[in-house]
Amino acid sequence: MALLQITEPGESTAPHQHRLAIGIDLGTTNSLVASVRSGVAETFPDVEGNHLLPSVVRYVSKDEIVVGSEASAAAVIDPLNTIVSVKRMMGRGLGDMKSLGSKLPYHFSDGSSSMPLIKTNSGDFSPVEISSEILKTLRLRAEETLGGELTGAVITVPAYFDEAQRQATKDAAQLAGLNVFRLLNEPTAAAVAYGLDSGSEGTVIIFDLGGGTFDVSVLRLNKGIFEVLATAGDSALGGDDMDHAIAQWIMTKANISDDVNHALMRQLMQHARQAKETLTEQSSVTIQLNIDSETSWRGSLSREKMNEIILPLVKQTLRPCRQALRDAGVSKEEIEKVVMVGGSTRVPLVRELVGEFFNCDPLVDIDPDKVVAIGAAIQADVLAGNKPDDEMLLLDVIPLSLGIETMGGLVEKIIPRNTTIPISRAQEFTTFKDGQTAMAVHVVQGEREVVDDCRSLSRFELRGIPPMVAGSARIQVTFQVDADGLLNVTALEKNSGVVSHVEVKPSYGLSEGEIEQMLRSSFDHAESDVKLRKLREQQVEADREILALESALADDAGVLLNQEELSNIMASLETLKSVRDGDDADLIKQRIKDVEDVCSFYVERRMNRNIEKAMAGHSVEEFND
Amino acid sequence: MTTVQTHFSLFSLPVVFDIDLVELTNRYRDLQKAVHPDKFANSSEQERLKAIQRASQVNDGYAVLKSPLSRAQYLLELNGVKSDDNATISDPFFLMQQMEMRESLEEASLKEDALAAVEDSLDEIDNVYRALLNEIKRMFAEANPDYHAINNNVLKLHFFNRLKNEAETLLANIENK
Repeated sequence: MALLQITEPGESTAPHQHRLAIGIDLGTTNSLVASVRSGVAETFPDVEGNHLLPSVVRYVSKDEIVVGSEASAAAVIDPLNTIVSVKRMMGRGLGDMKSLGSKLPYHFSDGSSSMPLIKTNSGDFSPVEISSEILKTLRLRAEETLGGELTGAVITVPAYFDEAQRQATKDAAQLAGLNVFRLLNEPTAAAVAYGLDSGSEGTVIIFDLGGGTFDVSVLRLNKGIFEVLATAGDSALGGDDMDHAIAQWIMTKANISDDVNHALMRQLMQHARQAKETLTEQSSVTIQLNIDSETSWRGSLSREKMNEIILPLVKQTLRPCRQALRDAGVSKEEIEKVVMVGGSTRVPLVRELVGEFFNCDPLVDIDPDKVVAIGAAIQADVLAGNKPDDEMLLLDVIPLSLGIETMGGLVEKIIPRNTTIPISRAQEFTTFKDGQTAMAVHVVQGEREVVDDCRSLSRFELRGIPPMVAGSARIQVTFQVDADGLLNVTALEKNSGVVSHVEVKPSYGLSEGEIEQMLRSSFDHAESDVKLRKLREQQVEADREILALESALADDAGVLLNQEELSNIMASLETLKSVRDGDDADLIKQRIKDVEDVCSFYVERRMNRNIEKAMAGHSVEEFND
Repeated sequence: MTTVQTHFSLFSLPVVFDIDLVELTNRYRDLQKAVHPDKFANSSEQERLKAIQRASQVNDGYAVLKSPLSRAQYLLELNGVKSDDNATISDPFFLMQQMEMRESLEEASLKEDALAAVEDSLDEIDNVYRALLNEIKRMFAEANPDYHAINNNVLKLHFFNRLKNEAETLLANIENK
């Protein structure tokens, strides 16, 4: 058979070799990494046996960065160099940092970047770089546990994350040396972890109450397809608020005034937290508090009393629940399952109230701290190609409308929220001056009608428009949102067919140049290393291209290509292979491009064939019967 | 497959207004399983980009065909009648009707038992909406459809759809109180 000639022996990976892939839950307070081994998805602990990695990064000195509990322990003594909750800063601007206000003790530097940089004694760092340290730690943990190089990773993000926040997360992963298969919404990951795809059909709720945030999502499942219908929440509600309420109660009982010092307040919060955790199992707990060297207080707290204290907080979660149901156009009665996510859902009162509200027993079998990471690992395993027969497909929606700025600072919506992604929309623009060769498009995200009330995402500058009389150019701008919720813009002048060059200026993100710069500085500064890295990158790209093309040809070359087309493709493939082991990165890049150019029609045919196969048996005539 | 493709041909559906929605959804799922970029995680960059484009087309087509309003507008467009959401309607009977319905919705929201009153009002709007939709369906099925006449009804349908949304928001606000 012809295809036997295509792959040379020993060159291609065995088709059924297990590829190493991980799922990462990059959380505000804690992060986790998980993977599927021997068919079981599990989270990986560090050497001390801790699965949760506190999302804290401390810049100790120029050469020393610590991540996790060690950094967390230093937050009190070294607050300016110890960054906590960096997730809240992802994809945000300096103005947002100021409005987060006193919660952030850090010093910011304006810098040249559109992203805020945090000043530490080891230099200025962006939230993307800080996050990448957390991801790097998890990557190394996974590589050590799995004992090999990773093919790719699925990283979870909150369903409500806007484009800038998603892009920042993906940039951080890239910086950490991860190949991102997919950014996955946290609630979707939780549903996957519970295997709700297998055979079940229906509408489910994902109830995620963490330390500081609350999210609720409505998902519809049908024959392996997951659709996020709606999502709502409260970004300032969580277990920490419960601890605070309990601490307040202790203060009243122990006659402690409101202006307590920091150390005592921390001690109070710790006691409150411990009491809360103990009361998930027991009906009452004794609290022993040393107020100062002379005075101490001892008291007992019953579960009943605690429930009374935290009831108003737990009740606050129900309003977003109603909102999400309404947005999804679903009634309470239609909800078949409720999945509990986040450490705070261990509190019995939370389970009770949620169960009552939705009139069903919430699912709590999987550790609520690990459920998101486990779901991400399962999806990573599927995307790596380890389960070729898997029917699972995750369809996400865009959480906030995408729009562009029009005259007078108003917003014209291009893609409304809750549209299933990927999606693309084209919009036509024209020039308003004779000979105009450039124009700017300002893209925003949000539901409001005024630009200033929405989030600015980026400004796209279109250049290379052929000079024409004002109003006669027809520039078609295409806004493409991919499966990760990331935006890409292309432009074409329709009369001349000239493709305009689109330059992206993210409002709160990193430009491609800045990312490259960071990649460089994160490795050795030596010139040869930069070159070597670039070469290695192109070789990886070339291998990917070769492997993908060979497996495609083996699949359908016989059906889709004639002899001449096949030999053209084979010739370009051979040329790429011949430069693959050389040391010229630019040449490899050029040859990859050549292969793509030659294969363009073939890729198109393959995609059409996929569609035809999917629609096989359905004909218009059959439908008319 | 030809390059000029309609949403109907993408889903292998006949170009008619009255389509089987269950079948549409089944085909949508089959198509997404064939072209979604997740199915190409290990493919070449080029193939992944192509998958994103195709999956976008499938999503777009599904969204247009799923809703009767956008499906009607799309069919009109295919038949050379551009349906503009913001066009004005000069039919005096309709203008009177819409004014009355809006007023009765407003009155309902102020009543003591606003919840029940708004619900009744919503039911009424829904009935008119359904009747109009049936009329549009009948007109599309005629041997020689009068697309301009259909367009007039589609514009009216637009209005009732908006009114329905307003009533639902009103209902939600009352429930939240």
